[in-house]
Amino acid sequence: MKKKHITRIPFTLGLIIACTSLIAVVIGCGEEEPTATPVPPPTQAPEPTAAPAPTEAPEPTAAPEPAEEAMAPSSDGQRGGSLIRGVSRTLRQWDYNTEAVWFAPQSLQRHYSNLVRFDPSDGTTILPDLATEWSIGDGADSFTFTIRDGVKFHDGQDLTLEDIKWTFERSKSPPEGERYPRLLALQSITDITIVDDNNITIEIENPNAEFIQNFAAAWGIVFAQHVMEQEGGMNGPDRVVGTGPFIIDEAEMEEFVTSRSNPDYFLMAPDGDPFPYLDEMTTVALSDVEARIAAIQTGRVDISSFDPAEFAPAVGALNSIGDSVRMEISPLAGINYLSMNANGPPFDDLKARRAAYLLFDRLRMQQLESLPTGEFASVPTGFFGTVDPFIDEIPDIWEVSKDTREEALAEGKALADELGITGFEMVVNSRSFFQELAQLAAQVYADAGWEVTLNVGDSAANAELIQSANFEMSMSTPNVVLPSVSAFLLEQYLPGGREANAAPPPDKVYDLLADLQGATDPVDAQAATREIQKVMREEWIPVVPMGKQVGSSELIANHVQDRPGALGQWFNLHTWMDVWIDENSPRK
Amino acid sequence: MRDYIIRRVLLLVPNLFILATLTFFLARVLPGDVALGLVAEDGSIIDQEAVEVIRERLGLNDPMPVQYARWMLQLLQGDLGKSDVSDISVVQVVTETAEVTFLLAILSVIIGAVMAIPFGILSAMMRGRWPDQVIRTFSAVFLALPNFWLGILLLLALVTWFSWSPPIFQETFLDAPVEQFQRLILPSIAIGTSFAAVATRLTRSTMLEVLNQDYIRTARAKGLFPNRVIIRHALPNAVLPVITLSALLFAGLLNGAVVLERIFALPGMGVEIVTATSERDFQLLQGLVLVLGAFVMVWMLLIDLIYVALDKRIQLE
Repeated sequence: MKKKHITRIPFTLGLIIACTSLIAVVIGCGEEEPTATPVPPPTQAPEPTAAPAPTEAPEPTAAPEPAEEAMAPSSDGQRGGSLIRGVSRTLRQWDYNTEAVWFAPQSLQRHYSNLVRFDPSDGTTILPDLATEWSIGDGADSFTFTIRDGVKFHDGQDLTLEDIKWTFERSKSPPEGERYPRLLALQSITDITIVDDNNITIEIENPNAEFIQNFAAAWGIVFAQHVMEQEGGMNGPDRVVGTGPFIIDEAEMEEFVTSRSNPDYFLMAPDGDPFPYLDEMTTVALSDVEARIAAIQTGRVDISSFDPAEFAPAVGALNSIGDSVRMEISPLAGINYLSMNANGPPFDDLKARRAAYLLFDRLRMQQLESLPTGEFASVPTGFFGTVDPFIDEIPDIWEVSKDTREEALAEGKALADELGITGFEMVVNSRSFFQELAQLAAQVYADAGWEVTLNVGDSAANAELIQSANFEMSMSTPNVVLPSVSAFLLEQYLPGGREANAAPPPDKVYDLLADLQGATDPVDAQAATREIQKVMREEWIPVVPMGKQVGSSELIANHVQDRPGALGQWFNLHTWMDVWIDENSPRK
Repeated sequence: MRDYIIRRVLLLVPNLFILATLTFFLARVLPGDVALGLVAEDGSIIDQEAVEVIRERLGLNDPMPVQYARWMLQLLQGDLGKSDVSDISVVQVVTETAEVTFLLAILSVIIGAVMAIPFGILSAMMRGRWPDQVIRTFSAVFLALPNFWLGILLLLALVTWFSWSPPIFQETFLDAPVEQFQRLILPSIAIGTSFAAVATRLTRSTMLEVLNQDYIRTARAKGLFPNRVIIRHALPNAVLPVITLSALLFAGLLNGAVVLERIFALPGMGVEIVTATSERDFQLLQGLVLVLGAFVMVWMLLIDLIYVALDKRIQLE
């Protein structure tokens, strides 16, 4: 009897051990061994990426090179295989024009084409896409595009000029109950005319040579009219029909999007066949940063993308993972700034705004934001963030420069003393990155003698405070590319822009804006920009610029290849046509 | 019993009505709405006009009583509504997320129970000796560990030592049982271990209590084998509180183990509810809470019935 008693308990324990072992076996079963990746040259810790090159006003009449020449990569890509990219979020709506966030273009833009597009190597130069040529009218208020022949939608139907006309008329005048937050600029289109079989002219309200950049931006895609007008509209993946390098294959909202290559894509690769190189491309949502790191470490994904907020963990992961992956940093366009509510005290007073502007030490902020390795994770910016053509000069301007900082600080303190301001309340998004950023900003102000109280809430709660103008200051961090200084002014700071509570500008700003928009000579455009910035610093001060993170980061398996910059331009380029994988990929 | 069940089922109706009403009004206590959530980005409102257009389209400008009446009318017609953000029906969201949530809950409870019951019995039977000390120490440790942290540790350990991480694509259990099991096993272990820490202690204490009962002494005096005494006489009584605990855990898990679902990229109900809340997707939030409320109420009824089956002394009134 005793023997039985003794053996029964080990049996129970044995059962548990057996179950545990079974679980371990099941975990292992069905899995291929992670493919050994050849050791590449050691990857350097990322350098802070330079801001995008200054945007120059385009020539009145562009003489674009043929697409194929403009796209010549440094070496021929290899064809075949599939690539999986892990991102923090995917799409929430099939018609991504209806939402403002950039997650959706990351998953859907590769299915569409634009009239023109940005060169991935610099993010600003305009290249042909559906249009092979274009010209800007003498008054800089009309654009004529020559559309290439023989382009087909993924469902086999021909692209027509009617599709293009329909697309931009829809952007200009959205159907009732719909809005396209990222296409507001296109509402200044006044007329769209089909000139002949290949040419279409788009006219705009006010002269603006830079307007063409709206047609290259991530949201400026061309839709198929016959698909969009079907009953139910864009109600599922089968309605994602474009002319882009990839055809949507399978997708689940907020989970993944799998696409296969479009054999009829119109842009040719150097090997004489159409782009893309990949047979299949998948974007999958892995919301947790650790999950994305684990996925690339174990070969589940080929690329893991990290938000600006996840820069530090990504660098940490790179150091721990070793040589099988590299990191690329996509220049992050945009700006971080502090919005001041000019609809109420204290920032309805220009003196108070100037005090807040002068007391904020942008170089100190950059120092506080630096990585543990000492590298700067952000660059100081002016009012126009990374599209500022003079961004490199920011560290040397009077209120920022180390040499004159004390003078600026003294003036700021004198203004604050005069008004009796000792601090303010700042509305901040509850996500940890924003809170950390706000705490650093508060520290910068504390160094200057101002006390900042943080009012933390989620996006919708903060938006309500901002909409009702029930705040003093809020932190804003738009990552979105506004293609030019004029667009920045119109869409961000001027009345009708996103900063609805910003102080109204002095009248002269409108005159200077007209000068800028009408400038066909880059020298004139730069002169107007400088003058606008001077007025903004001294007579307007709509916001307090803080800086911008240098980039978003991606951990990329070494078997993923691209021509320089193709994987970059996080926001502007998601077509993936000139990315390929070599024979070391487990999915080739 | 039949009357009891009918009465409980009928009670679901007023309970769900109260739940629907509470959810409707509590959701609207939150500042902001879906229009602001859709059009705001990191501190600025991208398009002021868009906010009004969206509000008008979704009827958010209507007085609250009108919105409430519309929601109730919709429910009476058996329509749980659609997501304000994605336009997907609540029923479809539930269908797509329920499998993950249910499987995670079931697996967690099974893992927890498989660990807790034998260890609890062993601990009780070896009271004061080293196995008891070891089990109690471990249960205290796992009780203190947050389960999401344990989940991250498990993930990192497997990645580091075995270069393995769970599959990233969600498939149904019927289509790909092995892959689905692989996706669920780590979070289930994390949850199950935390649960086991509590349940082991509970099993031990109830077992000790039961082992001191007269009927156990009588059974031993009759000369029954110790294993038979434990399995046939002690265990059924000792395990009742564990079943209660499991039932409560299961009900809790139906609402989702949000953090673990997020870490392991599991598209479960918890993540959906949190996302709907942060996006102020009231229609989706109300629909999901109502469905889960109904699930939990039915589950509690089932637990009551299981009690009766396990313990004949319990009478349903």
